Amino acid sequence: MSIEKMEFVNISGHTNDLNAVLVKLSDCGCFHIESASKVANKKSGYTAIKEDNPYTPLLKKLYEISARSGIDFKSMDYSDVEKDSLPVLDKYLTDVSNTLDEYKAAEKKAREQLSIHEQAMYQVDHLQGITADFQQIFHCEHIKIRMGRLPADSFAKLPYYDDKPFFFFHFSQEQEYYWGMYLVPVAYLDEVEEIFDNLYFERTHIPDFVHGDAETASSELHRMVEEDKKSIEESVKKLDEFMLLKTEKLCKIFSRLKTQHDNFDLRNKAVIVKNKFHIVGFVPRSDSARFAGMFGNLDSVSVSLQHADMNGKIPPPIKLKNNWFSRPFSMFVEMYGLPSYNSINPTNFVAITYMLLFGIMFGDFGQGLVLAIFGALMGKLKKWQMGPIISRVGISGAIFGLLYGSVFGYEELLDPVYEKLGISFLPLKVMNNVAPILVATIALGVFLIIISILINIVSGIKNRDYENALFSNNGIAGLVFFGSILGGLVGTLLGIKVFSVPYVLLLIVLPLIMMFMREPLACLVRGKKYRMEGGVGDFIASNFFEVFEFLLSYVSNSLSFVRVGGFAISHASMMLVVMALANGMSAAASPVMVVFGNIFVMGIEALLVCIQAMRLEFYELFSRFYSGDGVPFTPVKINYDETIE
Amino acid sequence: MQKNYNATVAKIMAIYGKRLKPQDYTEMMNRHNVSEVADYLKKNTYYSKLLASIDTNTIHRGLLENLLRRSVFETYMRITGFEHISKQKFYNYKIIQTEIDEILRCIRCINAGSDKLIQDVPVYINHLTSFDLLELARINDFKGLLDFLKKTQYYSVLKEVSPDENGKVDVTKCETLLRTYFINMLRSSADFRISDSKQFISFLETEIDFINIINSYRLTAYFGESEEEIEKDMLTIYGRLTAERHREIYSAPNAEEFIRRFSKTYYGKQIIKNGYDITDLEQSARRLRYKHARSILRRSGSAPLSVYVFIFLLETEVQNIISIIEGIRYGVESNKIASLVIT
Repeated sequence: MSIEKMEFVNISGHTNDLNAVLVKLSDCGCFHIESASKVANKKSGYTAIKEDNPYTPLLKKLYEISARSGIDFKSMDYSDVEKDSLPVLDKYLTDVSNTLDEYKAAEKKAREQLSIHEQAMYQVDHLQGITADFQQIFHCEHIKIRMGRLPADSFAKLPYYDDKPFFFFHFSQEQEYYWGMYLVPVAYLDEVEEIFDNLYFERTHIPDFVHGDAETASSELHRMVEEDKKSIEESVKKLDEFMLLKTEKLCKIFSRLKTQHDNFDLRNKAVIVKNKFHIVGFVPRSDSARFAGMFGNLDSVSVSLQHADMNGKIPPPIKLKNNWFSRPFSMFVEMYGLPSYNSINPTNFVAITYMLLFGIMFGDFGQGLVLAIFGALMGKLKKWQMGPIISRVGISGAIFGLLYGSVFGYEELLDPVYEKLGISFLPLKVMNNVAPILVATIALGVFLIIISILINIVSGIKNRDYENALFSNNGIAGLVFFGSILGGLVGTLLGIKVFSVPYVLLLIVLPLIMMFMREPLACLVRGKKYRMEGGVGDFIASNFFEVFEFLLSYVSNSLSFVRVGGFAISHASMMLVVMALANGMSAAASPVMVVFGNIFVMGIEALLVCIQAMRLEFYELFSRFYSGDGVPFTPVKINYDETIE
Repeated sequence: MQKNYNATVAKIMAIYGKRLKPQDYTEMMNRHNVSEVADYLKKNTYYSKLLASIDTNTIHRGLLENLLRRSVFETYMRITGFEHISKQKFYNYKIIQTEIDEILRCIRCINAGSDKLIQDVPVYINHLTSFDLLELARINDFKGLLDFLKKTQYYSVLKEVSPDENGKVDVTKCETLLRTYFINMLRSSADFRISDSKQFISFLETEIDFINIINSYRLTAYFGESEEEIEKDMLTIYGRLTAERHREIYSAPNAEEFIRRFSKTYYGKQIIKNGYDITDLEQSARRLRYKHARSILRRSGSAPLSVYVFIFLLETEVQNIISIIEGIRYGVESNKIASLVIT
């Protein structure tokens, strides 16, 4: 329930040992690398390593082969090919690529043939009714006929050529194309063909050997199309057989090259000072002892460790430490952005508040249990990331369902249980307590907002961000202001005179002034001089509108939580409708209605409530204390799924 | 005050989510010919619907490019038709932009004595334009063009331009006049909330400044024009850089000095800070604007602003695909193609 403590690492050694060190770093799985030039002293005369990766061209060739053949490379033991030199591998890949090209070309040719014959077949199929021989039509002496299809955009341009000596007839239209033919006098053939070329007319060549009328030609073309398809199948089969033979070795070559490529890229993070390399990064403190011991067999290499935030130049990366209960909710935190190193890990807060909000909005014992089981199964069987979250919020929904006395929409099922237990105030019937529920959810929202502000204050003080912790709308000034307004309103409703002059001046006006003057006050606390940019007028205008926005946000963020009550009521209402429909049906149909009604309401409500709860988390709560600008901890490793550019 | 059209913004974000990723561009660059690229787009991206009836084995490069350009316009119509915001004056900008592009293409064809204008006319927009694009394609002299445009708003913009004794017209001057008209039209029709207006103006200012910078760079580097000649071709409106600042830059005697002076400006510093190649001004400008547009789209809740930057992003995506297609078609090295792709 915190952020993993990190150690800042500085590895140095002779340049001869650089590659060996990089291999160990990739293998260890716990080292987050940073660019050493960020911390290197300019006066040391260091040089950054900028080398072209020699493995990139071969890898690109491999990716090309993968893209064209459709095989996916996976990592494999590559000891067979480890000793092969790069020129040898290059030759092998070139040979594979060339053979692939040949097979692809043969397939392409076959497909083009098929395409031409299919188009001709399609065209001829639309010419049913022509009883003259096609060969006679095409051997006309004074007129030439061209059949094919014209893109719709080009068809619209035909009026531009009204003065040209041709006619275009279209037989049919299909999405983007007009199928038809144009007739042109022989003398103007070249000119008109050029026009239609520019209009992207795709000519259909009815083969010379196709004779007879439309019907005869059509059946001949159908036969040719079947032959073309067989020919394509043959080509594809040959290609697949070829690639099957080569796949294993290609995977081994890929594994080797990717490993060497990624390790080589890491060199660009190091700097060289007089024959010594320096690499910097971070390791989790829990792994630091094991890490330091890894380089024992490399005499020139030394490793120094210090606390992560002592380096001052590179912010430590973030690895969240969460317990079993809250771990699934880290997905939401990462979605928003990771916390910075010295701030608070909000995952536990998210877990509790999300479950609470979901439970209130979804409250149904039976549906909650079904959701919990569904989530657990999805998480285990399908490795669905949302699965564990759904199972937890389902349990929360079930608990609140018990409080509401709702079981699969039956609102009276638990009444006898509570009667027997002697608990008179339960169950809390939602539909009978609309106003109290809405007020209670606003009160809950106010409570959560206050908690968020408190978190911000603690975090701000910890990070010495005094402007934020003391004088901002989410700091002490904001808390006092907000709390005082609330206290005054509650007091007024209870008939207690709270808004006295000292109360207003000290607890409302003074915090407002502090929020208005937060920047100069923060400088004062830090002992620095405040420099006003843009003049007094600008300062007053911009701060006035900002404070106005703060005040509006208190109201809007608080009232936003009324949706929690709203969704609780809407859930109950939807089940009421289901029950009303079921009651109006026959004895056989009624249970079916209940089942499907529950499934439908569960699905819709679960989705809506998840989204609404997330919205409240991100917008109403996170915005008060969380900035999400942390850098994720990404240990170096060979990523076989990543392509290179 | 601009009404909220949150549903339109949500729709834009949904479509934006399907945009091509760097991996898609890498995959396309690994293909060997236009058919394979078209096949990849058809099978693996949201362009599958556009290319559904296309035979990728035989598709012509020019047709594919036209289809891609048309898809941008269709997307534009879809998002502005979603909540019927297309009736508002601002959203006419795409039509006007297309009309201006066609007028400029017509002028270039007139100067070149070419009759190829018809080939790339975006006929799918013809029912919305204020003049018939097919009729425009028939025009072969400048006087004819002015007569044709007499009843449109472009006549007053271009009427002061006259052809020389050979019938040729100063294309740069026409472009400057029309772009100025377009930008002023955008500014006057944009009815945004204050915060969105600032972002829109900032984005527009970048566009204005880069039009001036790139024009003046071309005239300096490739034509060696004098300061006075360059000034005539500058837009008469300015963005973040003032007229004096621009003058300071384009008064440079050569391209290297131009770049050096430019590097001291806000844009120059941004280009260097982002690691772009400042000597390749046009490409760096496009990258900077692309980055700015993405940032605006992520944060904006305003429909007109979102529409404007989203369409810009979409046009950049289509241009990327076209660069890849043309690079493969003409056997350009993949490194060079990759340098033209903006992500």
